[in-house]
Amino acid sequence: MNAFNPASLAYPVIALAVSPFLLGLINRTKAVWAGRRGQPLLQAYYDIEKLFGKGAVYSKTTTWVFRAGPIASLGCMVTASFLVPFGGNPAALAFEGDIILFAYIMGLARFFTVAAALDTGSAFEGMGASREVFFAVITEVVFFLGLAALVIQTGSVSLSGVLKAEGALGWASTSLVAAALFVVILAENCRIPVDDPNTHLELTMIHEVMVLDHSGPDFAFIQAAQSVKLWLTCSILAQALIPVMHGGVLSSIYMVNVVLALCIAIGTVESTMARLRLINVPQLIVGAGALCALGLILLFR
Amino acid sequence: MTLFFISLAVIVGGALAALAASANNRIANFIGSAGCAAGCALGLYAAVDALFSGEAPSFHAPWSVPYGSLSFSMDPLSAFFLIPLFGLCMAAAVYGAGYMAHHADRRLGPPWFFYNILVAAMAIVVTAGNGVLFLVAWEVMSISSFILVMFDHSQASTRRAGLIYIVAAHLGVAFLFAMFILLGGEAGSLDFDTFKGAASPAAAGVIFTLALIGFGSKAGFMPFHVWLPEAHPAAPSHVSAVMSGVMIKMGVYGLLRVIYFLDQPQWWWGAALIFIGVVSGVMGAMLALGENDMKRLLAYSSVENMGIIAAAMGLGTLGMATHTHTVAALGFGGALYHVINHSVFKGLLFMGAGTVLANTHTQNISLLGGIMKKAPLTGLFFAVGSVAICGLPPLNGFMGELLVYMAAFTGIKEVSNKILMAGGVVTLAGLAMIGGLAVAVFTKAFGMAFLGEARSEKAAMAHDPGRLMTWPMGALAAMTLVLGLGAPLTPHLLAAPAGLVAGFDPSHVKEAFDSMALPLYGAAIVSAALALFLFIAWAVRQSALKGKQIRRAVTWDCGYAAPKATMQYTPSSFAQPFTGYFRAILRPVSKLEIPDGYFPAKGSFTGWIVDVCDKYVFAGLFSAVGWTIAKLQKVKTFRANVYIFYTTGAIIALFAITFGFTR
Repeated sequence: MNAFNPASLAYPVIALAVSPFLLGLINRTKAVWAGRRGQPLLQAYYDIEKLFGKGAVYSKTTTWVFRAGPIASLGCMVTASFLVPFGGNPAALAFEGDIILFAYIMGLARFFTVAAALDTGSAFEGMGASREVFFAVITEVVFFLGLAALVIQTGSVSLSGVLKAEGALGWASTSLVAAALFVVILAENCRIPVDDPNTHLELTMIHEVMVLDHSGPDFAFIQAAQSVKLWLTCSILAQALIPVMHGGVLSSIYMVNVVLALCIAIGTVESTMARLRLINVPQLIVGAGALCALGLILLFR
Repeated sequence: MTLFFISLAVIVGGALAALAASANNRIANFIGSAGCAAGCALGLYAAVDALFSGEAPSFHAPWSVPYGSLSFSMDPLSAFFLIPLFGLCMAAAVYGAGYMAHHADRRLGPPWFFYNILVAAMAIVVTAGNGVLFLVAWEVMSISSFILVMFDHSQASTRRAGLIYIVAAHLGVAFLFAMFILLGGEAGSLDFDTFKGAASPAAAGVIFTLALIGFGSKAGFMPFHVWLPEAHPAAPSHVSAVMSGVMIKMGVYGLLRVIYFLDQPQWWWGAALIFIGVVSGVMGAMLALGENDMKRLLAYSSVENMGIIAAAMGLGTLGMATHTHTVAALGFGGALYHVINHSVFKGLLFMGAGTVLANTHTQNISLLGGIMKKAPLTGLFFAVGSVAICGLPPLNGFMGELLVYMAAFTGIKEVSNKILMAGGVVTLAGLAMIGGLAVAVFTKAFGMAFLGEARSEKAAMAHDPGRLMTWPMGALAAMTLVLGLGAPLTPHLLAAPAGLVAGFDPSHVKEAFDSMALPLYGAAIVSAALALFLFIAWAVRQSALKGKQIRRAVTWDCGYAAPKATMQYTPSSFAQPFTGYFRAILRPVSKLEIPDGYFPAKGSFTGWIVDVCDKYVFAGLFSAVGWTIAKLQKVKTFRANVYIFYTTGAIIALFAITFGFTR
């Protein structure tokens, strides 16, 4: 496997450009389920553009850590997008061990988002930060157990190798792991049933409450970073679920459609489920971990 | 070797001079710290030189002590451990010169004497080539650090901490005595060069178990960690930094040395190390999260990091036992790298906490807050240390953990070897959980203490210290970046000591470490890219805000008319989801006074956590010991003839035992 693949440099650009559309698609799905017309599909782009043109309000309590939060979020997501392969093509940067780097770059973004929230001194944001780090502890374990199952099957410790398997994948363990990764996506991207991205009641929120005090370009950065994260996690799951053996433009287009289908699935989950009580969220994620463990045991035969 | 002895002489000379100058605090403070720093610089040069030249200088001289000899050797493993030892002790000595000036009302000569003796004793521990010499140095290390822990002996809590520490240290050393007697019996001598491969397989298992307990109690592995959260907070902060950053690593050195001696490990040794490592890592992190005392939190976090090192050593041992060279190299390499990394960032964090303590006279996080604005440099350095210890790229913590992760993944890929696979999966899940918990611990430590508004008047008194204290912190913060981005060069540094422990022939070492270089190069390149994108994002934000209106306001207060600092989320509430969900481990205890009446004036809530090992394992053990001793009191009669009877009986028993052994 090559360490550097110039042709794949297109994917980070695509990730940055296309990802806000996913938010629009999820919202449209929810509107259709609710019998509404819903906001424009491109609403997320309009939001980001509008926020980008605005000035900013900063709390007197905050320091440079607060300003570093959005920068770190977006910078980390863009960097991570260089490690994620797409449609059977290797990622722009691919090497053994990039899986670990991917997970920890996400961790770096989380660290600074949480620190920025605590920098405001607001009780609400402290609460969101506390919940964020708590759920992250369990999701991280599930994510790595899922990866371990994929690594055993493919013999590679690189996202580009794991998601472009040459051998036959065991369908049983793959479907178990895929189900678990779907829960991870819901948790990591603050979707129902873990978190509600649309709520305006601070007490019930996790991610949204952490970014309450951000405004203007800072908030635009956060929105953009959030949508890139959705794109990256969805494309990892899509490729774990339906590995495409042969790279090329056609399979990339095919994979885009799988990602879009996943977003419609997320929208459907959000429309048909209520948010879980916070104390029940760990059960859901631990349940996903159990699925991963089962998938691993199947591979131990 | 000569340079090494000169450095020891300078350090010990500084110790004696500081003691002699006790009458004048300024001179004692200067001579003690300067002597230590100069000696450490010399020693650092000697160690780096020995490691890079590939030679193993040694020195032998007879010693009148039975079974003893004055043997020193600086093979790659010793030289490797000398680097963080001298490096951090040097930084801590400079920092200590500034820190101890805050205690000018006390005599500073004796603390500097014992600090320098501690440094010299540790340097002898890692270079000793004889069991007696090793144990003597080990004891000097324990006792001098005990005296430093007792610096604040007027406080009851310090005396309690010192008592727990000295008891734990001596329980640990008892196992080491047994281990050396057994090992020496197998080899026929207490010189280290006769030990390699001398033990029979049956004895090897016992020796390893004794070493695991004896060295594990110094390293702070669960459940032998109970002294750590007591002793580290009690000591002056530069001593805490050295104890946590270097002294507990002596346990790691000892274990690696014993694995090297025993040569042919059995698979259960690796499994035991992985189990202990994952338990220490996860529980240490959780206990750290529940802790509101800054230095206790850092001490528990050391237990967590020692867990990572233990799990890495476990993978290395499993790799040795199953003849999987890559896993062995990555496991031991990761453990060694984490030893250096932890000494850098834990030293840095203890110094940061010490700076806050020196200004505000509190290490209770619930009373801190807003220090970033008062002490921006200290805040920056603490932030760097926090990111590094969470194992986040691009700093050094990530690079060390990357090697351990690679060891685990490589083990998992060995599909034909179920033991290795299981060890890999357990380590992987453990590391992932530890990583998440570490982020929670250090967003709490950094966020609650340094960000937001000051929760008390004390916290508002914080300020940046003088250059003597900021420069060592700055140097260590810079080291986290250097050791992070420079990681691709480290396999050359790690190859010799890791290969020595694993007993590889050179071709295997090269092969295994070549495979190690690629992930490190990749990680360093991506880290550089990360720095670039962060810069671009920063530049884009700057240009977007150019010419726009930027307002300052209060934090969004949701309709409250008068936001107050006490309305902030507290450290306890931040940790509440964890203490609630993991109450089986954390045992949260709370005292609640509910506000009562129409105009309630008073209400209070106090919450803390209990260390299960402390409360249920050791408290039970020691009360059993106390009970037994109370029963034994009955044999005390205060009559001379009865005592003569006891003595005669004991002598006869000794004769019988000796005769039985020598027959």
